[in-house]
Amino acid sequence: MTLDVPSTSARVRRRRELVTRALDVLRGWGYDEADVPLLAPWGELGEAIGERVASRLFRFADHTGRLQVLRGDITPVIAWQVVRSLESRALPVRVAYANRVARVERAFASQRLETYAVGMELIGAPGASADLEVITVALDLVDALGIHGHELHLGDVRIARGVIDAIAPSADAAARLQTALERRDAAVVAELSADAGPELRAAAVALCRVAPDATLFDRLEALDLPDVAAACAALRARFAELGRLVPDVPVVLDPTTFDDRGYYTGFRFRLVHPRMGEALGAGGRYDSLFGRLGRALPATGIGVYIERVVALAAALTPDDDAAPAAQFDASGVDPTEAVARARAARRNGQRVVVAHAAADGGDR
Amino acid sequence: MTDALRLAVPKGRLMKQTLRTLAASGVVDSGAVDPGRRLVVRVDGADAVLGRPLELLLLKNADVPTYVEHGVAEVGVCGTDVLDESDANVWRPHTFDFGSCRIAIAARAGTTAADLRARPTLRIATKYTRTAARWFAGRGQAVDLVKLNGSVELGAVLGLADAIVDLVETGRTLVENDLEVVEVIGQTQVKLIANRSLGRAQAAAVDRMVAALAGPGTEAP
Repeated sequence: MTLDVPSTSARVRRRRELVTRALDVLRGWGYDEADVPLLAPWGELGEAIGERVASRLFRFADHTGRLQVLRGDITPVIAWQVVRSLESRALPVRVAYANRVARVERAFASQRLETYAVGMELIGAPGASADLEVITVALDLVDALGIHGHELHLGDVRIARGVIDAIAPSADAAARLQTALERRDAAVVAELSADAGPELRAAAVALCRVAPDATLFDRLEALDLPDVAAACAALRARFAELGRLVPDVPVVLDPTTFDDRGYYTGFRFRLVHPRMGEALGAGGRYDSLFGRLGRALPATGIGVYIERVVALAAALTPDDDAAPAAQFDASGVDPTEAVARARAARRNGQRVVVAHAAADGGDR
Repeated sequence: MTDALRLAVPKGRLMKQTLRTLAASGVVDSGAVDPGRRLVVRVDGADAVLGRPLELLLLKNADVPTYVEHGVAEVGVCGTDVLDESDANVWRPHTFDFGSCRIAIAARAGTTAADLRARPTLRIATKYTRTAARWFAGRGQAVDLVKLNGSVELGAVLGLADAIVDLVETGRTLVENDLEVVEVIGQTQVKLIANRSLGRAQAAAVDRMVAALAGPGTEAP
């Protein structure tokens, strides 16, 4: 895909519009916007944030010497807030957010340090219905943002994890096998699983498929790994349910899915668009995060990468706010008259630009 | 928007080897492709296997992962030396049987691994700073890395560095400059790489390409 980057002012305006629309959709489904703090105490949150994410966040000592973390991954911060306020809330809790976040992410030439996150969390609701609600709301949200042609990719972190644990004899071997599977590097996976049984090895190599089909699930379910089989069966069930629920959205199963945040425990989903090289949004079930913060609760949620949506929306729906502005010259003898005429034009709904004397020739 | 599958390939020898392999696998028609000065070239015969046409994007080696990671090309052909150096977040579903190479520490003839280990701070000239840093960190040895972009051997010959880390194919360039391999630190391979957020139709085409490259009777991953 090749997308033209919208100009800065158009991008900022479009982002504001899209965020407003997104929050409207979320409010319509009962998700009220949280006031997510910019800073949170690392001492209380550190346990909840996975190592992989922690290394991309900004931590520093505040004026009292206490370690603080800058808002970078919103889900653990919301979980921390909810745990502290549970006594005054009824379950399930539905929370929406729309915030700028600071974390180190790969970008074209170097690293991107800031991005904008919009999303929601459904806390205290276990099971399929909660997952289906979150996915449905996310699809509604993407529709409202003017995106079409997207796909829903479903996975479960327990599948590849179960296969890795069955093959790798040590934590180090497991880490290497996970890296190879994350890269779908079939040759390296075959090498690292050489000592596994033939069916297990073949299943591990098959997890490198770029477009997995039903035969891969048959193979995984035939292994003597009950947790893997259960996760596959659950994933197939979600696939069938979503086929009925959102028949207009293509659903793709991808069993080679990992926990890249350090808190996902099962079902995961990504919103993918064929014109984008990166996912538009991602989320999943995280049933252990709240336990780490002192109160075990099931939870699921999704975040949308709004900057990517802005770029895609601009490509799919060209900006119609490009009408030329009327020019009013205030550099002449009667600047008040020029500004007054501009004001009158504004009252008629016209876009206006007041031209002032250039800085080096200005007399005021 | 094109409906072709875009394959990013480095210009030169790797492009020729890739096209030969794709032709031998039945993915494209055999016969030389002469791109001239064009940087985007449509290759005949891919529809039958991939279900869509194939377009080559002819790039510099180091740029291939960037185009694939950001989805401008769905797939690419790239050495693991370049991939590991770029740390690109892409899939590597197929390993080609050409282009494998040693990556080695080389120094002036007569230098031993023990000599290099004994230096309090070793200075290494290389194009592959990330790879070298990782390897020496794994061995617990402090190194000063000097980034060079070509003729890396000169770094050791002229005393800019104690040794170099570079690809070694036949070793003839080293010998002609009075250098020799001190230690092999890895083996590079040429991989088919793919974007991680492909739509299902694109993914299916890539999957068919991987299966064709794996060959009949070989179970593709």
